[in-house]
Amino acid sequence: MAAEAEQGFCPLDEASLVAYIKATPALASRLGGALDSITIREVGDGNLNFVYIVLSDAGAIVIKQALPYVRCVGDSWPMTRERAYFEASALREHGRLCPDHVPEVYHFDRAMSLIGMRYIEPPHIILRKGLIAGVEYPHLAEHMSDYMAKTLFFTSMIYNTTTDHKKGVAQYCANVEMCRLTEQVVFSDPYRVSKFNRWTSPHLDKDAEAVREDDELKLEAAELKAMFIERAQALIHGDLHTGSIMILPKVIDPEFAFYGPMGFDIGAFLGNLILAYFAQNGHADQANDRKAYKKWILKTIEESWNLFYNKFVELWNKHKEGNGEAYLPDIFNKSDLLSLAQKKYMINIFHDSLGFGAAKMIRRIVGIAHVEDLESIRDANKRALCERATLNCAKAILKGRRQYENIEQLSIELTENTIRGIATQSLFCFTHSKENAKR
Amino acid sequence: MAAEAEQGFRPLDEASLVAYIKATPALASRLGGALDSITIREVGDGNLNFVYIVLSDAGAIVVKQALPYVRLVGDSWPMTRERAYFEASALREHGRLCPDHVPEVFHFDRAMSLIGMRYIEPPHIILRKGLVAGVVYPLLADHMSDYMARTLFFTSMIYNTTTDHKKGVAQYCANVEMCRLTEQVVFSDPYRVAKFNRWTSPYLDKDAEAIREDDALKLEVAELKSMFIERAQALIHGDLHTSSIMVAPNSTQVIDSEFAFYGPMGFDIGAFLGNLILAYFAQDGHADQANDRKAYKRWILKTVEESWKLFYKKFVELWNKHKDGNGEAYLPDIFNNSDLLSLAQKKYMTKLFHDSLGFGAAKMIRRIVGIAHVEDFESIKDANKRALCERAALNCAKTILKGRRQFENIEQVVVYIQSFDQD
Repeated sequence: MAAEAEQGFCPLDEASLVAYIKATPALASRLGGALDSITIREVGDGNLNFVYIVLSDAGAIVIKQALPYVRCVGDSWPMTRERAYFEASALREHGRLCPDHVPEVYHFDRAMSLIGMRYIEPPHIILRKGLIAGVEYPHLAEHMSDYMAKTLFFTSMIYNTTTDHKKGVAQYCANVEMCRLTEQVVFSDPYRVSKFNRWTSPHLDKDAEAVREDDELKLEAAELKAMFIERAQALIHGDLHTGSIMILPKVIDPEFAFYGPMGFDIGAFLGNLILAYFAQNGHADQANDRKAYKKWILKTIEESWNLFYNKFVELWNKHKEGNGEAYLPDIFNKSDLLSLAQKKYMINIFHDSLGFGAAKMIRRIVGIAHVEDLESIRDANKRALCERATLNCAKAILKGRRQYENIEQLSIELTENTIRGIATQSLFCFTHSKENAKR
Repeated sequence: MAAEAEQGFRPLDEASLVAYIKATPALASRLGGALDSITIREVGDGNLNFVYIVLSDAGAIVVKQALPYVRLVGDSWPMTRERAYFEASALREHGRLCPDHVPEVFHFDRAMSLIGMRYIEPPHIILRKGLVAGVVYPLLADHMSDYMARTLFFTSMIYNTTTDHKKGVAQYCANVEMCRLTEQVVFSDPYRVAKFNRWTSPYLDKDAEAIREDDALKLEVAELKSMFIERAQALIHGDLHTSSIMVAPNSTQVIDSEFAFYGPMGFDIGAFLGNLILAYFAQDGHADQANDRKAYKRWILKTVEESWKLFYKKFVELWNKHKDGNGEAYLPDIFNNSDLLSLAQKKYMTKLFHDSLGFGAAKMIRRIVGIAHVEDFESIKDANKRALCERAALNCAKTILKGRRQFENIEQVVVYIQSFDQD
């Protein structure tokens, strides 16, 4: 750490953080200056960083510090702490575009890889936990479609000049280590033998093997991977799963942010909702069969996409005479031509989103990092059934995404559990009844 | 220019260039130190820069200097002279990858936006002039497929790690002014009323109007434009038309890489093939009693065909050769059987083929109804004859652009081009 110290970096803990806050007016002021009665609690439960909640009588803040390695592994897995710079930049940029759904940044210290931001207080919880608990959030689709439409539209070439766009692209090129992590864990490891892969074993041994031997799947994944690396379409969050959203909602953790394909963000969100959907059978109990909740999740998926579509096109129409250079108004000078262009554009994003979402689903079942939705199903057999249904659905979506003309088609197939003719419900019932027979 | 002088920049002329060379060993040494009998000739006939050929008894060099405006227009059209930095960088990078077909860079002075490089001596001429004159270059397809396969493969993610790739992408993001110029003149102006547009009038008035009103064409071009801006696939030359290539019977040299950036591979391939196709359509305008140009037209189409097929073969060969290397797009332990890798390569190359057709067609269209035309047509004095050639090229290009995904191979494209023959 000597080299780090020379650069002005030192990892903090609860004690040293107090001193740091006292020396930083931008933070001390948020605590109302009542600095002698601060309580600090470290709550980082993700894989990467330390996260401190700092409470005083007069206010509260969150301090996030990146260490130069992956926290859940240790310094045998180095990961640049510059990710904090990109997180802060993206928080500020997305916060400017969508202040309702991004926590405010109070302070960023690049040398310390430290961000001070708004504390999102209880009863707000991580969306993923709410989905496991079966809590409905009636405005989720409305708000998330708002966030995605604004962050993606306003950082795209439909709105910006090439000059501004390329400046942003160049800046975020340096967040390459985070991109490489995604390339490895989302687009590569699930498709090969990798020491970090794990799955519910032995139940899914053959399913995991099938993924590794599915040529068609690999070809599609390779195209998505190339798009992920090459296509600087907008400033995306880069990891928009349901663990990055706190309900109300506020979107957090954009440390993977870079200029990439829009479908990667939309797909992350929708894909994780689909994961939550398939996990519901594993949470059902005598009190609550989760049937109504499953319907609500599907409705949220549908509305999230449809509202995103509408809002994105609304922004496009609103700004069509602006500085954006992708669809110049004197070329797209008739409203039905512009409509057609928008339709083509949106259907391409739709198919991208389905593809990326499916890829994210697959990796959460046979890869290194799983999701609490499924992990919290104690019964391994039950969990495996839910995971298999998810996996089969994801594989079919990834391969067949261009056949979907609208989100309702997907929703119907999920409802009937008949993606590509795989009757996952009957599979569940069959095994379930076998279990009952054993008792 | 005061601000420029502070940055260490001053525009040279024949006289001041002599002093500059004398003060620069990397250049003086190339002239064998015989510096008192230098002759200098300014030959810049492109749109952008000053180009000096410097000859001594013992050697020769070319010195290229960018001024902070478009030379053809003057300082009412500013254009960053940093383009020289990107030209020199690309010359060095592509020169490293394909030394046989890129002139060596002897010296680069960033403050002076000045490049000193190998003089590509006679009998080399600009390829476009050779095509207008009806000269056959038997090695052209072989050499250009070599250049394209090596420059595009080795700067792609099939060969490189993401880390290296993104470093290059970031570096060349700053060449944005040149990209914007291309976006304007290739992907935008032909599709709208623009004061710089011109065409053989009144013959092509309706054809130009038809383009401005062709919705299907505009939609396709918009997608190509987005790809051009967004898709950092490889370090491309950025302007690989037939005036960026110098040829002699046994030699092919690619020059003028100032538009270089990380963009779609198909843009380079399309530029080359598209300009060959323009040359094809211009032949009827050069035909005379001595030479009906029929055999030459066949040679051009054969070159188009071979260029693509040899490029395909060489690109895939490089891919196979390096499949266990550091490239991160197609990892060997995922693409771990040869059938699967073959299939992946086939898919990749088919997409690249369609991209090339699209970009090539767009480049053809802009040379007929846009600001910058090509000598292939401009040298046809008879306006009526010229317009007929241009119309055939235009109609061919529009259909290829809109229907490019229907073509399964280059032979089909060649047959289609021939169907426009006026006889």
